[in-house]
Amino acid sequence: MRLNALKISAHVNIVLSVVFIVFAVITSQNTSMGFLTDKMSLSLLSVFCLFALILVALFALETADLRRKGRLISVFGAGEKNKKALSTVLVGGFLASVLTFAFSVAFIVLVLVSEAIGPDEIMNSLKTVYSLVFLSLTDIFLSVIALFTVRKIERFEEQLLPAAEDK
Amino acid sequence: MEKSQKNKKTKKLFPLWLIILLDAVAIGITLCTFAYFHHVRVVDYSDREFSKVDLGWEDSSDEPSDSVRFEESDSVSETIEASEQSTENAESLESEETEEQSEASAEKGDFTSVFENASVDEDAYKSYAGENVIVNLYKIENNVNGDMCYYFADVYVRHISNLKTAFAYDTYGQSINEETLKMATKNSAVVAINGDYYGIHRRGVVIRNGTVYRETATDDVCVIFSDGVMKTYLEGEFDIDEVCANGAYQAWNFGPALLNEDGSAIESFTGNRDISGINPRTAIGYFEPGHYCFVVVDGRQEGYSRGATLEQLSELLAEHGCVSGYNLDGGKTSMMTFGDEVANRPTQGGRDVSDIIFVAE
Repeated sequence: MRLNALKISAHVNIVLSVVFIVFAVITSQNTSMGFLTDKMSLSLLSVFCLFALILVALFALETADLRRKGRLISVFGAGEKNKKALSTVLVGGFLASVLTFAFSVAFIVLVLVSEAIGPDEIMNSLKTVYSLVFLSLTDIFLSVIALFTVRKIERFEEQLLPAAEDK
Repeated sequence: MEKSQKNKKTKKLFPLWLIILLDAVAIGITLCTFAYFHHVRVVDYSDREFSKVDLGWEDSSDEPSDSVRFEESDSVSETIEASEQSTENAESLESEETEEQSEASAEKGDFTSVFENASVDEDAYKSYAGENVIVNLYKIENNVNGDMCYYFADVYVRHISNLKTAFAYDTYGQSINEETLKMATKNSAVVAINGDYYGIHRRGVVIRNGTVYRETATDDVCVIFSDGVMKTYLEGEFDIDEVCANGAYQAWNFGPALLNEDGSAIESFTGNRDISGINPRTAIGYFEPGHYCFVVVDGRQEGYSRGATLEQLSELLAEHGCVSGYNLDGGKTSMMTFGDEVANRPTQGGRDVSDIIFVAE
């Protein structure tokens, strides 16, 4: 159940991240199009940030669960190559989670503040645009790591099933 | 239990290429859906109530306009006579007014004194002279800065109410567009140009014919007040309450402002604009209350006219003696009509727009 939620959440995050990278590029070229300032965009940005937070939470829960059950190495395999992959997932996943969490919370606050005082100055500034691109990229990175982890778990469970059946 | 294990056993993972393809499709669908709601869907706001600015005079824009007379450059004599006749009539009527009354009317956007000094130029490409409007349209082919052909309409109006704006299908809303020429002929426009294409943007100041539709500035703003003065404001300097209190009659939000405060040309336009290259342009210029100009630079047509940069447009307005100028929507939108025909050569035939600026009797 949680694995499916993690998968869906990761795909939604990839889609929304790319969408907001497109919006950021358009805004950097022409702010008057209002791709980051109108109500619809701000609502979608809030949804994006919420999904990013959900992804961070689900990924943290899943990796914590694997650690708790001592299945991390089993899932990724014991070879040198697999160990490297595992450390990349753990370190990269941790960093991406922290950054995604921080930027998502910051953007939710920014949306609330900008709605109160008028979004144009805040949302159209290049700093905001670059921050949004950064959030989107870290979110895509986290989503890919999450999907990679899910795939490893699914493969591991696939391998376990015949063994359980044999027993 | 056995059944569920069997199901799990038969569950196959999607190949990577299919996952990437599905994600790409999802991205495309999301962008298209957003674009539909953001840009394409027609939204009619005409049932909303909008505040009116106290202009200090009664807006008679709903009254039917008089028939209009247009002349080519080689047969302007009759038009001049008609103009002189109408001016004489106006003079005789005005002489009956007291000096105080005429001063009061001048404050309310009456530019009779300026208008009386205006005349039809026989050298103009096309011209028009009526009771309340005189227009000299010049076609200028300027090959100094490369291929550039522009149309310059020198406009005199007797009263500020002769300078008007119109929405596509007379409806304020989003993504409601109509042909510039259709809007112009429907409103009996002598000369018309495209406006700021407010309907494609969600934000930005929109004040038209004394009605405030949108208040928040998103860029440089151009305001024509009921006393005929045209001013441009930087985004941060614009105060909606102040301009409304001063009798804002028209306001556009596109920009940038094209001239410095002293009327000199701006040498360099900076900022993250995608419109800074050589493009077809539309601009409105201001000389004095009652005297304005409409400029349309044709572009993107090799061998005829490539267009103008913002710097070139600024220089052009300064050369003509404008004290204030403002860039409106350009590119394919740029269009000028004179009478019942399109005066310029719009890029790829032009496009439907959400608003026009025009002068009419």
